[in-house]
Amino acid sequence: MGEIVDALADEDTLVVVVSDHGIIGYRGEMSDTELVRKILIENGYLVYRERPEIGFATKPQVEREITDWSKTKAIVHDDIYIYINLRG
Amino acid sequence: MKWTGPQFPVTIKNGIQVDGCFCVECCHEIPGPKLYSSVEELHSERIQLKSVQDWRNIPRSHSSPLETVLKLGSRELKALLNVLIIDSQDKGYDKVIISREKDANKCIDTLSVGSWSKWMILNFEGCGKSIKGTLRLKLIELSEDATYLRIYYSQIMSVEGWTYPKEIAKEPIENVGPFLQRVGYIQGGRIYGAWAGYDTFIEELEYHHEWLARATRYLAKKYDWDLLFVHSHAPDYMLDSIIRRADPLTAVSEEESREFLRLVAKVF
Repeated sequence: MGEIVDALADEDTLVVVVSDHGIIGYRGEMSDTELVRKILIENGYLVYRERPEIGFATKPQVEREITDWSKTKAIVHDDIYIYINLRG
Repeated sequence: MKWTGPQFPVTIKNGIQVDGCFCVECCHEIPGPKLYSSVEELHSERIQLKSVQDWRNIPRSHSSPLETVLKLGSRELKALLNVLIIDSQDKGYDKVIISREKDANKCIDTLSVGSWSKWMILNFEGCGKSIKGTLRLKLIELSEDATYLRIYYSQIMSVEGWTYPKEIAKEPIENVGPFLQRVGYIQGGRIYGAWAGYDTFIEELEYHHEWLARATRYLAKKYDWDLLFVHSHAPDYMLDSIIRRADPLTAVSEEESREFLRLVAKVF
């Protein structure tokens, strides 16, 4: 970034640095994603037909887990998103 | 430059776009990064070493020279590289010679453990197509008795297709080097592409970002612009691969935390 700004920017150039998400630590055995997933499962909002032990997955693992969409109302995606199944 | 988020085909018409594919795959790559290994290993392709046959101009080797073949490419598009393994100093096998033909005088490069080959352009053929792709190899491991041989190659990118307008792609390749669109990484034990360790991961990130800086400078100085976007995915790769082992709250030990915080600093 420094090389690009040094080479191309002058006093009239507006330089903006943005990020689409931040970073948080995982405090404990579970990531925040897994914690939210657990809450959804325990309350009957998220039902899997099949889900092997996946570990620290923050995104749905579509090739490894099979979601029962007829019974699923919501899924978790990354640490901050809950998607609602509008067809379910 | 590396437009944020999947964005092919492009939507801009009055501008230049370089890339715009996701961080774990690219619609313009021939294949992603790969690891070859002489032993059974997760997410690697097995290679078999054998005594040389039909090689010409083999350099002096104090142990019987060995050979193998790297089958590069995808299911549809394929290329081959011949590999010659020698013991150049009578201290065990130590050099890997990469060549299209079985002729060491025509080799592309000679590798020692830890070294990268120069970038090469190969023809990948199949399904009635012939596409040029850019790649480089790294010799990750070669044991003295050649039992363990591990060779990594960077993502193989087509020489065109990843820019708008299409013909722009050849300019950065010719002036600042081949494009590396993504790197292999690991997240929670799951490998995306290939994994050959943190040193290789950081070397790949370093090339990728130096290329972005060089290509941005080249294109922005040559063409007029009002808005310039540059996307770096390094913080996210780092988050996925390293941060859990760097954070003192989740690292296995203080030592691990220190080591991985050093890697975080190196990525930035």
